[in-house]
Amino acid sequence: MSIVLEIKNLTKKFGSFTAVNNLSLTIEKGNVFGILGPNGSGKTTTLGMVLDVLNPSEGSYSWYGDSQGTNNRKKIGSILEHPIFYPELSGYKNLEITSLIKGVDKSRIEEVLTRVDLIQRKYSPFSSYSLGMKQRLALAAALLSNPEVLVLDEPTNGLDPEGIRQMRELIISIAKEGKTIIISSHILDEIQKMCSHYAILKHGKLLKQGAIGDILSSKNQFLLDSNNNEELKSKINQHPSFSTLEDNEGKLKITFNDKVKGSDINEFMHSQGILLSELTELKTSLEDEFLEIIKK
Amino acid sequence: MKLLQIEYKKIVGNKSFKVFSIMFLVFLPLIAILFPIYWSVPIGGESFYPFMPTSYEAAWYSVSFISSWFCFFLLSFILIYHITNEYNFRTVRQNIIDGQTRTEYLKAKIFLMLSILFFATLYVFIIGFVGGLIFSTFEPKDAGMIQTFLKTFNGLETEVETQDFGVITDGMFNIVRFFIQNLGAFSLAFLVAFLAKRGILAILIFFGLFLSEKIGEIILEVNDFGFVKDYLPTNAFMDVLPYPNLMELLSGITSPDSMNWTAVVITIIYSLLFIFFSRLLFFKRDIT
Repeated sequence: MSIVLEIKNLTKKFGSFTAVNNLSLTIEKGNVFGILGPNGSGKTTTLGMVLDVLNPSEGSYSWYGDSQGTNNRKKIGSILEHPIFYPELSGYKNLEITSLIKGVDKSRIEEVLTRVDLIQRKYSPFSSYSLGMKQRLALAAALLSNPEVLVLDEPTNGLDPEGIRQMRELIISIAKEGKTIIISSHILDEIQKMCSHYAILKHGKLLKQGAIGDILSSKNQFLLDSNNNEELKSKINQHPSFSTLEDNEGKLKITFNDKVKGSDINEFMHSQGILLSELTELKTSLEDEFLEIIKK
Repeated sequence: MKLLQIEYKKIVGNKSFKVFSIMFLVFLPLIAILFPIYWSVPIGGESFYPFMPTSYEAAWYSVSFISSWFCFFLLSFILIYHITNEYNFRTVRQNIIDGQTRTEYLKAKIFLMLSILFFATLYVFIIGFVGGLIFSTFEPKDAGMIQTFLKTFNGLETEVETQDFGVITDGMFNIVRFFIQNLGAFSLAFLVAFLAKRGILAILIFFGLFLSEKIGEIILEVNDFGFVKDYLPTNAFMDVLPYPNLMELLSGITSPDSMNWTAVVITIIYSLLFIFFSRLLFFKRDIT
């Protein structure tokens, strides 16, 4: 895998306040990389530095191994914080400016406006757009150069549920094209649905990073329910891998010592004469992991 | 060219820029040509028209001098407004996020500044040329036309000398003076805009610097350090295209003979310094 972005010991200080503290990260091609953290954890500051609007106090970063990254930066599509455009100009005119900056042919403008469903309003002034439309125009600008990398900072901020759904579907469709996406959000469910990798920041420090798949692996726990839970309790402890049992709002949360399949449990309980009305495998969510790490 | 194209796209849709540009295009000829015709000073029961040129050479100077004040303030204001607006709307940040390097961004603004200056100079050249035609004449038959023009506008009876066609180039170097003087003013406006980042604050600083330098000059004069003022920025800019001599004005405006090369060199040095410090500021600071 080739490395798209490498961050080495990046630090940003605002006076005596350290917003990002000695951060090192590596993002590989094809990753959908989620940067998580509570408000003020340094997510936007980190993205601001790698997009050259903030000067690092210490450390360095490189896009595709080029620490200057001047030409590579034009290939990156980005949304940082709120959508920003020239208010008096139309969406189309604004994208003309972006296309000139990125060195992209004007014919791409219609294409991206169609993709984000803004083609009907392309000649309306940016100031007349709703927040959802502004956010979609920002995504259109980010997609203009058909970038290999997308950097999205809180892309669903301020959107209504329908807007969030549309934006998420757009991002997922882009990710399916094999593009590298770096996305910061505090909506963990969203990150869990979209990302392949994650990093958790707090007070500007990297607390944990890894593959989402590793978090979502089984905890060897199942939630069981039947028409006779007392009998279920007495029989389940005869299972060779049984470890512990606890009540969970009228249902039974069973932990096993080894990896057990749901079908095996169902078969075992059936052999004991118990019919299960519920059999759910419990997995750790990103939210569980996040809250546990943040609490430390 | 691509950088200029970007700047052109930004300004062409900006209503305020259009309003200021139209003001400039309309008011400049009115001021540069009609002001000398209408502005008179009563002395000993007679009206003197101090800025009324009676030769082509004097017309170049009169138009350049009057236009320079107009450009100094109005066009500097447009430049400040354009740069600070980018900070106000945070579009400077978006341009960088979109992949424009800081060097490209700054270059684009310098090119825009030079383009405004170039077009302003060209416009002043045209007005100077027309003004010269109005205020002077080449053939005896035209003299009557000019006299009629002046009489129509303010009832002024003027003796107009006839001249050879070659006199058009006399005093044309005042246009070059205009260019250099405003190069200094624009580069100061450029620095102030990047320094303040807010329109009103930048304009206050710009005019504040101008006024405080004038006060400083008086203090220096009083304390026998008058020679220092020649090296101060706005004074040097003004010396490139100097004020007319008040005593000479009574006998009609005349163009200064030669270029003040010291003022020209000082103005160019200051212009380069202001651009250099703008670059330093733009690269050192975060773009928030």
